[in-house]
Amino acid sequence: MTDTAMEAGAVGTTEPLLSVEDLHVSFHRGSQTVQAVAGITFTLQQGETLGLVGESGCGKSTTGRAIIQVERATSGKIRFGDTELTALNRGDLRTLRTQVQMIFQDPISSLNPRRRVNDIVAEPLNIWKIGTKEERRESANAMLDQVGIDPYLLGGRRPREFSGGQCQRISIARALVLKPKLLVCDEIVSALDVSVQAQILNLLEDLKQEYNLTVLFIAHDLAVVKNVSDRVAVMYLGRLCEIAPSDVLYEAPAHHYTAALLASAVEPDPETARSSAALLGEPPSPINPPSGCRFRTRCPRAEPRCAEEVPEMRQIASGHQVACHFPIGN
Amino acid sequence: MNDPTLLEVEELHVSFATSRGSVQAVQGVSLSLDQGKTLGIVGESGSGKTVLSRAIMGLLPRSSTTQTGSVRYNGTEILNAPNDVLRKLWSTHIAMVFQDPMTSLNPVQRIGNQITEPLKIHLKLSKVEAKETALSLLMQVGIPSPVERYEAYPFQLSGGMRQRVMIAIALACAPRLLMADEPTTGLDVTVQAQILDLLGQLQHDRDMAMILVTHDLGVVATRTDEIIVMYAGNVVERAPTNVLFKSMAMPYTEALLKSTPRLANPSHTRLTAIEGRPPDLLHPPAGCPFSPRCPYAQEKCHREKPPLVEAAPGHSYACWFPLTAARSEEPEEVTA
Repeated sequence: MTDTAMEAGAVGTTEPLLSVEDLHVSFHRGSQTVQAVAGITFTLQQGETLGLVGESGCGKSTTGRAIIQVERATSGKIRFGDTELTALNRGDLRTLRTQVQMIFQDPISSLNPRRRVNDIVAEPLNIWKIGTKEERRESANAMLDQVGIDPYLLGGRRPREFSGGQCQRISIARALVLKPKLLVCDEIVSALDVSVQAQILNLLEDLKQEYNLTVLFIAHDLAVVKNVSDRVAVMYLGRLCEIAPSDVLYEAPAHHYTAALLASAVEPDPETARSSAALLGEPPSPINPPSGCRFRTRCPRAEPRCAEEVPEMRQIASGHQVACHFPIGN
Repeated sequence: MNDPTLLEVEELHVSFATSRGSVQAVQGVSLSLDQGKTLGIVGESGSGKTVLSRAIMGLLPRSSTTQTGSVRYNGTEILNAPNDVLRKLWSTHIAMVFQDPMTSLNPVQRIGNQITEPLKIHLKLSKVEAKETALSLLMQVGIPSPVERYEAYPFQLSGGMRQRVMIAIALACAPRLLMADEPTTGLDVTVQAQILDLLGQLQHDRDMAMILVTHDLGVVATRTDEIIVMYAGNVVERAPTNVLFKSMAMPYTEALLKSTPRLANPSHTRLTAIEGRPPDLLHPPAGCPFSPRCPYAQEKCHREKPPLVEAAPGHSYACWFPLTAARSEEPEEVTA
């Protein structure tokens, strides 16, 4: 395997940069409780990109937001290096956010429309008073230059003068200017045209190499996730179904939901077998999720056991984990 | 070409008057569609695909747009036709499914009312007949427990369900031509597959023609007979679907395909991005609109706009140095 995680593991002593253990996030709506994230566990090694895929409402964004502590976990542990994030007070959390940054889906609304882009990018440096004023300006300009925005020509403009793709570049510059270790990307290319999407994905790949970034890449597009990720985790209705190295997951999915997602994806090639709906209906409500395996109501392979017993995440091959009583290929 | 032509568009130009000048959103588009066939219109944001589809439908505001050329439906000219003529066509002959199912339905009317409205107005059905037809339509578009949904408001339905309702409304009066503008954008992959299957099925059952407007080459690859690729208000390539994917001639089509991440490729495959951005349609360039971003562009491309020519039966493209010719010799080395 070319998996960075495993190489890191082979060295021996490397602790994961991020480890999420039995994370639960619930929201209350009147007397009802929505379990957006219902017990998920995964780790991220230094320098690795983990893709998190799933359909709307599966809890993938909530997971990302819980990691940067925008959403507070109901229970569970989130360890970043040696620090337990769920136990931090406000001040320590603020300090820690210099190392954990997030990029959001809508590039235009995530930038302050009234500020000039070079101020937007310099803001994190100003807040932490890193270097002198000149140095800050210089690093902000260098960062803008690196994401492909000419700081001298365009730095004085405001976000509305840029296209969606350029705004996403500016968001990336703002997120990276403090040289964070972990970057959470939530659907960062889903609002962009394919040609621009390719530019942003290539840029992310380059910056990842340069800054040795660890990335949690949340998206719904299977092909995009495969392109950027070392490993991929598939989520359904608040739980993880499967985690595997990208190439393995896409070639030999073990969970029936992963297989259905792959079968539904459209490919720009008339020669490929025409994709057709592999799943009927829509996911059930997270307010009242099915007992046992949450996917069982739509699963082609479901048996009585699936309703009674929650399938635990188990290892079926090196680095390949699945939460299913009857995985494909077994 | 045994089927009679249902829709014929010739040299359609659409421009918008803005405070900064006139935006030439569609610059001379011609197309034709036979009964029962599916045409895919592919392009990125700003390529003019949505404006084109709305111009065909007659939905653009008259006051701020200039539309010239010809749009003939069944032989009748409908471009710039008066509203009462268009109103007789809409729904019974041409219907549209819009992109955003969240905002295209009336939020304060029950689903049932929204489906029965065209039935009562156009087909003059009685209340009871209209309700029966509406329930059968809801069933046809795969909505579970249609009797309950009939009384529901849009906010009580998911995105996929709302898109099904939109399709039911569009199909209510059995149109001959369905215009679907990004019908699955914003929906999840499994739901997208369901909706595309549904559209294909209904189209087949009713022998209806369809125009599928999308930014996603994947959506049109297996579900259309012919594809038109648009760039900056122009048709840059037009071909039967299989031909287009097998021997695309226009560098833009190739660039679009190469920049799309593919499931078949291993992870971390470097994508071929198209650098730069589409031209400003306030001042369209003199030459080929794609020439500033084209890897094969030569001097002639910047100077003269290539016409859309039919190079092989059914396959037209607007390019001075098409890829098929370049491939047989040395790419990038071709001279005029």
